[in-house]
Amino acid sequence: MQDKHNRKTKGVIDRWRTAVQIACVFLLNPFFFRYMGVCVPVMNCWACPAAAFSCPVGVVGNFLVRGLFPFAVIGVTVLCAMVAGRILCGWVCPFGFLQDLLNKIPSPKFVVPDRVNRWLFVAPLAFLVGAVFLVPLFLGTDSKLYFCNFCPAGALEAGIPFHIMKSEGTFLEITLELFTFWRVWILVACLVAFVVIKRPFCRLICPIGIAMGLFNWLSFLKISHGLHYWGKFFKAKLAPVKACPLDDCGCCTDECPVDLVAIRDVNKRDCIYCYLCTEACPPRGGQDGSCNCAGSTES
Amino acid sequence: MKRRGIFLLKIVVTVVTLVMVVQGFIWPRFKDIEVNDAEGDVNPDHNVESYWDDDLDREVKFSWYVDDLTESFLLQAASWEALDIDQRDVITITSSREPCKE
Repeated sequence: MQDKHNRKTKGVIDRWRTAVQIACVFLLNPFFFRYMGVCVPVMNCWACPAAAFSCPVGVVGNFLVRGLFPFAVIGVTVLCAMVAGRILCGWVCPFGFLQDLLNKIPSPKFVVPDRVNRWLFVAPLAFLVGAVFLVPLFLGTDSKLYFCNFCPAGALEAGIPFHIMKSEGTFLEITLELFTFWRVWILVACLVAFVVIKRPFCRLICPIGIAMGLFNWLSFLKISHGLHYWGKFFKAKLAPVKACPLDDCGCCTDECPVDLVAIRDVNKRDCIYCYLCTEACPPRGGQDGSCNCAGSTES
Repeated sequence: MKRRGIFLLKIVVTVVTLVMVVQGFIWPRFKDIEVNDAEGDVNPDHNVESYWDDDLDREVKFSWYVDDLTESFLLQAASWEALDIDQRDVITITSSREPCKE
């Protein structure tokens, strides 16, 4: 019975998440609508020709360089984190979606060891404090160290499109010219990393993600250990640590987009609220002593 | 007791952030735009934009161009904002140079 339930629900959340991510790409980049007065705390460059809303990193930099405190953008970012943690990272962020897509390309995958993974937050925290706040405050936004000046999301969504629009020449010439910019090389390195590592940008660089992640523990939304969520798609629950059928069997980690040991790290700083772990490790799994993870053929 | 404390903390942080959001959208509203081309002149070959400056009580023109991938971000964003300055709630425009006045 449980196996049947698992087979039936396997991938449902993943499919819904992908659908929401695709929808959000177009909602955030509708081409025909633009209102930069609203800031959405996801990695979607406001200089993108199609972008509708502004990016908090750019807004913070532009405020600080003028000696003003960005009340609205920090308020919006923290408020989103307070309501639903990093759910915007897992379900809305277009750059996160790109990472998820590229990671589906068949290739050798590199899994960051848990010991290293739990300390990776230091890197994006340094980017947040240094490249987003201190650099524009003390060195200005012209500095090469300012986050927007090396942001790969910006290069992909704004830099390259603008360069192509203003360039005259053959495709080959434009392409070769693009590679004379050092930030394009950063983008290429990131794209390669996306294929072999799960969401490396989110874990190593993204200042918005870590800013929201710091408030995950206070978030009103939690992935529940015991309560049923409304709606059939959220009925799958995450087994508590003590209930892991095989004592940390690793199935939830395999599904986790950021390589967390989900049964231990769910709802914590690095959790992006994707809910995939709830499918990987459904409740009552392993009552007969077997690994009852969704999709598992073990019996 | 601990759960109640965390709940109260959640409420406090939420209220503070709500106040920050409201505060941010009400104040400050900027009146000046400081965008120039690299030479400090309005170059007709560049994209020329203008806005009405209430303080100066005159139209101020500025130009921008995309000279490399880095510059394209802020200058492009600046031009959009300049065309709709009443909506500049959370965006401002950066440049260390003075505006070009016609």
